[in-house]
Amino acid sequence: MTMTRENIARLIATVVVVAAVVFVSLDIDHPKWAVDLAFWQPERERDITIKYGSDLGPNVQVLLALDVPEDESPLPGAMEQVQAVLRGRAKSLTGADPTVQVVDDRHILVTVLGVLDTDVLSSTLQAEGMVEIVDAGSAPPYDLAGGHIYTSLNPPPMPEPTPESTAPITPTTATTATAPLTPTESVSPTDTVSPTDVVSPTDETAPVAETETPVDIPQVYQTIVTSYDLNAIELRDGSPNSQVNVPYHVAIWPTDQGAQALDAHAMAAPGQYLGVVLDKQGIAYNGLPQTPQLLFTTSGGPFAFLPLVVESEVDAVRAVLGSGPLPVPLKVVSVESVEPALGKETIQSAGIASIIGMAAALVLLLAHYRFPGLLAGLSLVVFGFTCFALCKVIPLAISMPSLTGFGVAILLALRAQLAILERLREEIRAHRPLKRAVQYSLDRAQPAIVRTHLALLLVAIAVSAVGLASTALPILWMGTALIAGACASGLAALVITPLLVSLASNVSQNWLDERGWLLGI
Amino acid sequence: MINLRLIENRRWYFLASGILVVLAAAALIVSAILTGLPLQIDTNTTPREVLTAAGFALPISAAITLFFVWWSSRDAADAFRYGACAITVIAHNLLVLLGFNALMGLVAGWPADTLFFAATLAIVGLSTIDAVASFERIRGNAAKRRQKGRDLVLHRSVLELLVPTLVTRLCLLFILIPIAIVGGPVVAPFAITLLVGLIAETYASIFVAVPLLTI
Repeated sequence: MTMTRENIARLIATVVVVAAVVFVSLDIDHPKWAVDLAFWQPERERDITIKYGSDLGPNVQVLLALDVPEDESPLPGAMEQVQAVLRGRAKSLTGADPTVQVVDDRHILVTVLGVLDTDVLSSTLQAEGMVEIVDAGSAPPYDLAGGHIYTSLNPPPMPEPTPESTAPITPTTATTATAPLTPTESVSPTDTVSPTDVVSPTDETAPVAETETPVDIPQVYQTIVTSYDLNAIELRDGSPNSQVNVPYHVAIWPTDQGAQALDAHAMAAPGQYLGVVLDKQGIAYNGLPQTPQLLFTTSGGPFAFLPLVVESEVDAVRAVLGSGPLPVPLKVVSVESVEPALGKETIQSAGIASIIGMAAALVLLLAHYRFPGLLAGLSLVVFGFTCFALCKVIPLAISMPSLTGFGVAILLALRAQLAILERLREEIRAHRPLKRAVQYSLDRAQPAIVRTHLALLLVAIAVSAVGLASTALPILWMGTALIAGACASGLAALVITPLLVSLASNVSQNWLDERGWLLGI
Repeated sequence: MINLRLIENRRWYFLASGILVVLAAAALIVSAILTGLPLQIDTNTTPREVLTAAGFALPISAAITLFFVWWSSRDAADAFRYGACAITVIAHNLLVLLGFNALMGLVAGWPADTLFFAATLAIVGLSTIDAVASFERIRGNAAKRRQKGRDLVLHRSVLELLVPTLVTRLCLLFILIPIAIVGGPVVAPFAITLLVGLIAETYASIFVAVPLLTI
């Protein structure tokens, strides 16, 4: 009984890899440290669970229509922009890739995987997504939260003039806030913003007359920059620095033009606070009033703003902020929760058929190739676990196209195992000693195995790239499944099977030599 | 004495294959005349993006196979012939699959949906694997048996590949046939399309790809 040191090292490495693959494949709540190892997944969406495509799992379909007059058609390219925005929002909200399909020149269908709150989904998808950074007054602008904010870009409707309406209008001031929300502790701001002063949110709406029954008109805040002056804006988890303790914050990266406008405002109106308004709702403010410094133009960003949103709104705000504004307004036409397109029974039947097929393959291997067939079968079981584990960690949605990709990979894996087994049988029939037969057969089979895997991998990468570029999820899923399957098959055929066969020939050469029928001769 | 009928009878195999291709093309033409489109694309279940992606992915995959086979055979005198044979077989398989879908679209109302395009990509993948494996084996045997004739090498290579090819197909049949039977109105057409593609691909990889190398 001889085992080379190299074989022992390979065995240990393989056992570790196989153990990891089986551990990931298990249907358990994996510990956080294990989930965190999937570092390529966005931190907030990180998990290692199986996800289903819209054909195999429940989903929600939202039909949206352009909210523009019938005789107006959107600008060229607008529908593509709308698709990208909707895709980003739905993905941020659910963590899974949605299907965003242009139905006709005015309608878009968004299919989101999973079962979720349809109200939140609808309002998030149709949100305009326009961000304004406004002059919020000289006191911390807690009153920005929760209400309907009017800005110079979105002023309140003017009251209808009536003959007797000489009513005076008394604007509220920025400093008389009704603070519905108290920010999470220390309002000591982020090191970022240094504002200015223009703020007088009320200037433009100054009273015009005096009467006995004064009528309040809403506060109007001056818009300094909008979404179009920002390179990016995000709702991020955690505090922006150690001086404040907030669960999340808003980070912005202004464009050069936006930074100049903000700095100009800071110079002109020091001591004022800035507020971040999203679709007429305040979502954040700078923790300290502005100082007359060129902060924005010199440091570029990101600049942190303290949050004014409540916990229940965080996911929706994050989704809308991260994907930018819609180029054209949308309205929801219908929302529908739908069952898997293929039905549970079909899925179960297909699953059972696949298991029967794999079992038949293993029985064939065992019957035709005997002991080497058993080792190849073990290797194929590892291949199956590896495919499943890769699905979970990539993550790859299980759908009919991805299962088709795995079907091709099964054939590749089976073919690679058969290439080894056939060569081994040829060498044994040529009466070579077992150890040499194993070595020769592996050496002879390897080039063909490497090349078939490489060829399929190249095709799979091309398919995935095309799917990604054209945002066709089924094609992307299929290509990704092919890549995962080709890698898993490569592991099985180039590492596991050679190791098992070599070990068996080393450990029990005499025993096997005496029992030729076990080697299929 | 080894039977060389595989190579000797190649004209019959080519004829059978040609008839299949002509029938497929005829089905596509008839469908185009009767319905205005060669394939009944289901726009409700097939997003435009999938059509675009499949339209690009199929020729790109075929081109990659052509160049890969040519590159991996670059030491051989007729390297490009291997690539040309591979792409001919892929085109053959694709045409058969498209023709079958056109025919079933006319007869049974089967649409060309996302699953159909997944099946065509799968057949391209299988064709690639088979082409690379076959030509690898032929080159290996040709190097070992330089003194033997080319026909003998080709014939022996096909015989050696027969068992792996048939065993893998048998296993896929075990999976696809039950799915075709119990799959219901959406999955059954997909499984049957894949079965037809698989049969055409297996036939072409044995009886078309290798004999083509002798021309």
